[in-house]
Amino acid sequence: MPNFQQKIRRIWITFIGVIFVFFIFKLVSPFGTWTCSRNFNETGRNFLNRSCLGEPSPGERVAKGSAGPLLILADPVYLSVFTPRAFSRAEVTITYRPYLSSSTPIFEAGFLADQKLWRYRLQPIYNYWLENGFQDWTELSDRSLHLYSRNNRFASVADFLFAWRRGDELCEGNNCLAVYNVDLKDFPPAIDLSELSQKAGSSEFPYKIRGAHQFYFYLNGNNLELSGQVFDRNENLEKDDAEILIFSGQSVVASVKIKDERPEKELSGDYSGAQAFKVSRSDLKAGLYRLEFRAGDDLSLDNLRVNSAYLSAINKVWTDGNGAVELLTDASYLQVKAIDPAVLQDLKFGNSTLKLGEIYKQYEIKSRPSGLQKIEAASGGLVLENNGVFAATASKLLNPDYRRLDRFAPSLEQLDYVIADYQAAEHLADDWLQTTVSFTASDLYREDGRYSLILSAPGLKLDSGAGGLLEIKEIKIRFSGKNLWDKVKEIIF
Amino acid sequence: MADGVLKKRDFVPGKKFRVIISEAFYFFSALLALGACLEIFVPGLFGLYFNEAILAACWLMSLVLLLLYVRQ
Repeated sequence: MPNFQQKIRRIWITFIGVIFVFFIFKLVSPFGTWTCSRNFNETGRNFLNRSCLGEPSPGERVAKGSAGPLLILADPVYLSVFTPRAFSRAEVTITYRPYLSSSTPIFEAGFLADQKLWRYRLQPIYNYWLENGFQDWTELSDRSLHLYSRNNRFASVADFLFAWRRGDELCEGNNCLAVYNVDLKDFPPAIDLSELSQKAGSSEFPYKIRGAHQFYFYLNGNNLELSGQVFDRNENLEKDDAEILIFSGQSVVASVKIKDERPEKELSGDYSGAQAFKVSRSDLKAGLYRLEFRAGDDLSLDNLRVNSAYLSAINKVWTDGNGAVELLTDASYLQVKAIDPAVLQDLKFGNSTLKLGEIYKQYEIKSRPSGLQKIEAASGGLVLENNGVFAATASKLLNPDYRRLDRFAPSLEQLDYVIADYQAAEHLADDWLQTTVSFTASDLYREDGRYSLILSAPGLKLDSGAGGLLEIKEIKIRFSGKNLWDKVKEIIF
Repeated sequence: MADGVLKKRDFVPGKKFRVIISEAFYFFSALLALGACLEIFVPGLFGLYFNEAILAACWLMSLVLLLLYVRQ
C-alpha cells in the first residue's frame, strides 16, 4: 500500500506527464490544423486569455481600450502569429468596420514571404471601389472574378478574358483597363511590344542604387549582355550575398549568384571594392524581360548595363551617392523617404516641390497634370517609390503593367474596363463586415515559430487623419497542412 | 526576532501538510523545468497555455512554505 507521500507524488507526476503529452500533441498537431484567433472585444488578455496572435505594432499606429475593437489609425500594422510547426495553407478571417474613402480605398492582409527583401504576400480584404460599385457601368461576374465595363461589349467574363488573352484591342484608347488582384501571367502586357523600338541599343542606369531593385528591359534579339558591379557597405552583421535573376513572364531564364567573398569585415563600415558580375546568353527570345536584383540594403549596385534600348526601374529607386539625381517616372505621384539626415532636401517632382524635413518619414507628393514627371534631387540617398516605373530618359521608359485599382487609380473617365478578382465582404449585424482570404503558407517566412501578419490600408496616416480608420473586431487564422497520417505515409511509401 | 520564533512555534504543521508543501514545490519545479525546456525548443508554446508569471509566483510561494515549515 503506497503511503500518502507516494500517492501525492504519483498524482503530480501523472499530471506533469499529461501536460507533456498535451504539448507533444500540440507540437505535432496530428490532425494537420492549428487555429489562432483573437477577439479584441474581450478583456483580461494578460491574465489567462492568451492568444497565439501577438500584440499589434507599432503601438502608435493603433488604439485599443480595455475592451472594444482594435483601431488601426495608420498603415501598416504588424502582428506575429505563433504556430507550433509550419503549415501549407492559411485562411485568415477578419471581422472589421472600414471607415475608408477614395483616398484610402484598399484594406489588405498578408504574410511576410521574403524576410530579406521584406516582401509581403497580400490579399484583398476590402476595396472601397469594388464594394460600392461603378455607377452606370455593367458588372459581369464569374465566381470571384468581376468585370466592370463602361460599354456592355462582352456577354460574359469568359468572353472578355478570351479576347484579352488573344491580344484583341479592348478599346480605342491606350491602357483603358485597370486590374485588381488578377493573376496576369496568361495575359499580354499593357503595351503593344511591336510598337517598341526594334533597333539595337544599350542602356546603363545612370545612378548607383542601394538594396533590392527590379527593372524592365526589352530584347530585340536572342542575345543578352548584362553587367554591373556590386559594392558592400558592411554596415550589418550578416553576409551579404546577392542574386541577379532574369524573368520572362513568371519563369527565370537566367540568373547569377554573387557570393559575399569580399575581404572587408562585416559591421566594419568599410566600403568594399567593386565586385563585378556579368550575364551572357544567346538563346533567349526577343521580348520583354524583368531583372530582379535580390540584395539587402547593405549592398549597392552600380554601372548596371544591358543591351536593350529600354531600361526602367519598377516601383522603386533608392539612389546611393552624393551626386544630383534626375529621373523620369510615368506615375503622377511619388513617395519619398530619407534615411540619412544629410540627404534632407527640397525635391522637385513635375511642377511641385517637396521639402523633406524628417528622416524615416514617408512623404507623398502629387503632380498635375498626369503624364511623365521629372524628379530632381540635389543629392542621392532618397528612397523614391510609386506604382509606375523610373527611367533616366523618356526613350528608356518601358512600363508593361496594367493600371491598378488602388488609391492612385486613374479617374473612371480614363477607363473602359475594370477587372478584379475579389470576394465581396460578408455583411454582419451592426455594420460589421467579414472577409476570409486564403494563402499558400508553405513558403511564407517563419522565424521562432512565428509568421508575420500585416494589415495594410495604404494611405492611412496618423498626421492627416483624413484617410479614415479601421475597426478590427476579430482576427481568426486557420492553418492547415499535412496530418500525421499523411506524414507517416510519406515516410513509408 | 523572538516574535518570529514564537510565531513559528505557534503553528506546528502536521505530517500530511508537510508532504503536500514539499510535493507542491517539486511539482512546480518540474512544471517550470518542463516549461523552460519547451521554451528552448518551441518558443512561445508553453506561454500560450500557462501564465509564466503566475507559475513562478506559485513556485516561489511553495519554496517559502517549504523553507518555513518543512526544512526547519
